[in-house]
Amino acid sequence: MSLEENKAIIRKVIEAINKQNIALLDELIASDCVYHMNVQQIQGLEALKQVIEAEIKGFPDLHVAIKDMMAEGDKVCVRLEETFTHTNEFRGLAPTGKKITDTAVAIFSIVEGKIVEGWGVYDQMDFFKQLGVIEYKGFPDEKVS
Amino acid sequence: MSLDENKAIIRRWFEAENKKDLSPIDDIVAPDFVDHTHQLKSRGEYMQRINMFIKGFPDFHETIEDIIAEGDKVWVRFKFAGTHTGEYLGLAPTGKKITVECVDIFRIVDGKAVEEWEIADGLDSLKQLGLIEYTEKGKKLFPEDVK
Repeated sequence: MSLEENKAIIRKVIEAINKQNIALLDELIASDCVYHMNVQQIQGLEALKQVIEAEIKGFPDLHVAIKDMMAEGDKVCVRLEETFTHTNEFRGLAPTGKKITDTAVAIFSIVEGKIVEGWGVYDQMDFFKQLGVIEYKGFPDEKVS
Repeated sequence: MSLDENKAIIRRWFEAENKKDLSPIDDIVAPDFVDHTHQLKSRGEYMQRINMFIKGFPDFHETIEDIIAEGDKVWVRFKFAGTHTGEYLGLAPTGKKITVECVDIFRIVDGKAVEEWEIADGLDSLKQLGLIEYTEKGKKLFPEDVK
């Protein structure tokens, strides 16, 4: 596969999430794929689909925009901006109506046209702050907005 | 510059930070370097930030886990590990050893880094430093995290 073909696979994954057509992921992600999300690990396509479905359910207007993308060898890297509104229950948390924007990056390894492994890094700080789940005490010398 | 040359520049940068020897930085970072994540607008501002880190976490080490390049960009996935034994942003030393998953994105022009974006699991690092408290709502949501 060429670098451009590998990038096209990642674009299709993001498109499937935005269109909320999760079944499309079957053709793009290997069934035994491992996704590292910060320090957690999601094992297998089915588990990954459940995570994405729960997010779409909780945040039905979820939109993921690709801000930067590059590829080398079997790897594709993306920087993403996610916007979503918490209008339904999410992990047992009643809807807060909060509109949230966050940044994520992910690096994927693609073999024979399917994602076999991914590493995503997110800062969930703003997300949890907005949902009222955490309180940030701040550093003494920090200007906390 | 080739992709491998660009990667070598970034490896030198990480090595300099790990050794706490910032003498190669002038060769690696452009004077008008911009860090979009931390709103740094010059090499001088970067130097201030890194010196603050060295003071707060003198043993810090960044381990590169993956490095990928295309065009003028280099992406680095790495793990930060350091012990909070010095004052950091006014926070007295806690002695806590923290580890943070990070990805840095660099743009390199004529052999020098001109732009950077960093995405890190900030929430996790602040939790490790004891700066995050769960609200009542949060305690219900993450019972496994509440002692």
